[in-house]
Amino acid sequence: MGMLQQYGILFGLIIGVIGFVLSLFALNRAIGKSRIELAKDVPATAGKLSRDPVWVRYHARYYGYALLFLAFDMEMAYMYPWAVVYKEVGIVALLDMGVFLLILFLGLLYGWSQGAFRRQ
Amino acid sequence: MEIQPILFYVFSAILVVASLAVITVKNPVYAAFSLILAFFTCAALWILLEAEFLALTLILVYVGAVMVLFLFVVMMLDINISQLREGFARYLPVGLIVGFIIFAQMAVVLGPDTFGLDQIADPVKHAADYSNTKELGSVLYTVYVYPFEIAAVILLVAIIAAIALTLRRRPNVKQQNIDAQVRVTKEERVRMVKMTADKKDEMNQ
Amino acid sequence: MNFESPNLVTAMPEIFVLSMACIILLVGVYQSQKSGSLVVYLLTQATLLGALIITIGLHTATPEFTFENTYVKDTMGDVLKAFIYLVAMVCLLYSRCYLKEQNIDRTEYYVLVLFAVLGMMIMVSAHSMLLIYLGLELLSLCLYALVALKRDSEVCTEAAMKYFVLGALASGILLYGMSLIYGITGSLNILEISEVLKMGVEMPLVLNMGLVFIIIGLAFKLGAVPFHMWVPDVYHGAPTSVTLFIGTVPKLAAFGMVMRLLVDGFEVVHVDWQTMLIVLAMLSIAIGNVIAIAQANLKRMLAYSTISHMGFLLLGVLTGTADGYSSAMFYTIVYTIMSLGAFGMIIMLSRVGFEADNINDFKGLNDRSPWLAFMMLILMFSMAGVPPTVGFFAKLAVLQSVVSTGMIWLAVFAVIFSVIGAFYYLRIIKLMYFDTAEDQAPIRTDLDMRITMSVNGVMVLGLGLYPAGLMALCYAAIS
Repeated sequence: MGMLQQYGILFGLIIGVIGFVLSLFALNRAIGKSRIELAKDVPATAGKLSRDPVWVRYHARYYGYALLFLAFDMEMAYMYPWAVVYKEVGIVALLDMGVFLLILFLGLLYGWSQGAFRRQ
Repeated sequence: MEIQPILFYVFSAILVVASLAVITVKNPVYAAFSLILAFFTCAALWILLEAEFLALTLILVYVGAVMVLFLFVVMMLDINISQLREGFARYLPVGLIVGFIIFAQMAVVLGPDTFGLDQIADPVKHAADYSNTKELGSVLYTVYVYPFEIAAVILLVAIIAAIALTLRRRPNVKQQNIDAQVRVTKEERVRMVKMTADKKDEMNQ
Repeated sequence: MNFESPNLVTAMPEIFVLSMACIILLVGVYQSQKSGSLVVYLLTQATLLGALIITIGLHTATPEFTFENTYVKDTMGDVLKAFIYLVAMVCLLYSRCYLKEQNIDRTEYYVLVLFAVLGMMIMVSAHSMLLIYLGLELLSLCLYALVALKRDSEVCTEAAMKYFVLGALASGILLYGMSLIYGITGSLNILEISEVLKMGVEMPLVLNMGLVFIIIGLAFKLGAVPFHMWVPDVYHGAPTSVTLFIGTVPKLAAFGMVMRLLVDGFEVVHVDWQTMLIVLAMLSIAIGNVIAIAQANLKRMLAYSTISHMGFLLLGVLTGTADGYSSAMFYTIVYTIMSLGAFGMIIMLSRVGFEADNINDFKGLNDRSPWLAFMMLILMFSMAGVPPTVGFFAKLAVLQSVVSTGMIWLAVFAVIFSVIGAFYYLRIIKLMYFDTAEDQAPIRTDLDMRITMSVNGVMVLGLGLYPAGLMALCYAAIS
């Protein structure tokens, strides 16, 4: 089977999946009842229009958590190739990753001592 | 007819449209989502270049984490978009001119005359069982061990800076202290009170 | 694949500073609040001293390479590192009281300073574009955080924001240039790049474009005109102790970075970058000196003066001769000593709730403290380049090397604008000696600060009388 045919099958599958999802929506439209009213899309609280802007949802405090998550996400990215080559490189890889994790662990300890992981 | 050029042009077109959308759409949330689309198509292009690991890292780190941060900021700030766009029309001509000059320079310098296939040979195609991740790993933890550890230090500094700059301890928050709860002894909680027993028949009177 | 295990002894200073920074972080975090930051402060100073001893102890005349030739330990690197430790130590000495008053005397401050020092050490001994970039990022990240550390102050936060956005842009541009160079040479290693360039470049256009991007990135970091816009705002907005740090130590590392990239890597294409540096240097000297005259804030004035001094640094580098490089190195070291004193003086005159960063705060300093006024006089004379202070010899050495390469017009240009620039330094002296003081508050009397300030001032004068030693050190470092 040629390259093009393989991609053709893949393409067909994608079309099939999208078609299936769309057909579900169509089915819902056909047998379900729904009324479309303009006011339904408006953010409202207790029957009135929302007084405050509705964008503000998160407190700035959570930004710190997001930053911490990013740092440890990067660390995880380094772990993948390490896991793949660990067996071949051996003890050197173990030491390298040990130092790497030790340095990052200090960050964890620091955050812990500052109460950065406490819910408040 | 090869499939790769077709895929390349399709993804490139999506990438260009998505990138344009990032800077032109009015709603910042849509801009962030367009950026996600741009990252995804970029990752697809990298996979075409046989850089599978980097492509997946791009999705994992940028779409998974950086974009979350972006959306966070967009959600947190009470941005008045019309105010932000006030200067747009004023700076547009200058921006267009600068952008055009940069584009023209890059097209001349980096165009097919210098980096075309007749200048630089097609890279060697690898077999199906070739692992990009393995190749990276085999040098990352040996040859590039020094930059690798520096990366850890940079991440540590980022963690320290993030906590030192954003964390505010609020003194009057009511919260559970689980340590204290677990360590509590019965003496602290139960008070034995000696009381004189009332006589039953007296009570009945 | 054969992997040569790295010689860790060569990289001992970096390993030592990193380990100590980590230990200090733990000590600072888990110590009692009572003992305060004194332990952390002393440990930080001890770390810098220890690193100085290790660097000098490990020094060898022949360059050593390790980590697959990406780490180099040579005389230039060692000399620059030694001055980085010394200047950082003096910075901390000056800042100690100020930090307490400003309520930023936190463990994080000292740890970030140490990590910044580590970043600079990585930069000056990097022999790979990747390491130069990583060292620079480590340094910049610490500096952004230091500027913002006083987070309840709007001015500081704004300065940090500006610094961060422009710094990130500059890093991006630098990285783009590096990627172009990698694209044509196929290597990140500085030595290999210079080997490839010696064989002749197939794509001069791409090389030039990469070079332009790299020089823009360097100019941003140095604060050379027209990429200087962040300098006054950051110097002005940051807490003075941080300004003191940013204004001094990173310049040594920036010089190291310029030398590693342009001289070690691209010396073959010297003609290509010389013209760009001439433009940057001329603009910096002219605009820095002229705009400084209009400043009423001493920190802003010193910021513009820094810009003009960076122009002189570039003048020395652009000559492309060993004389030029060593005179630029001499200039950089002298500049850091002078600005240590100048920013230290602002801290000296500040007190709780009051920053002596307006030039009027120096009015009548002679009546309040003749000795401090005399120190400031020496520092200002030196910055203006008046003999017999060391600033004069630094300018002279750079100008000599420029003249010896036949660019007399460039030297004349630099002299003219230095004379114009002398005005604003002399204005400070006039204020100190001929005006009456508006402010009669007592000046701080901490002994360690007074001694350091005196040593600093006397050194500027002493080095001016006997510049040969430091000059010889710089010559030895380059050749």
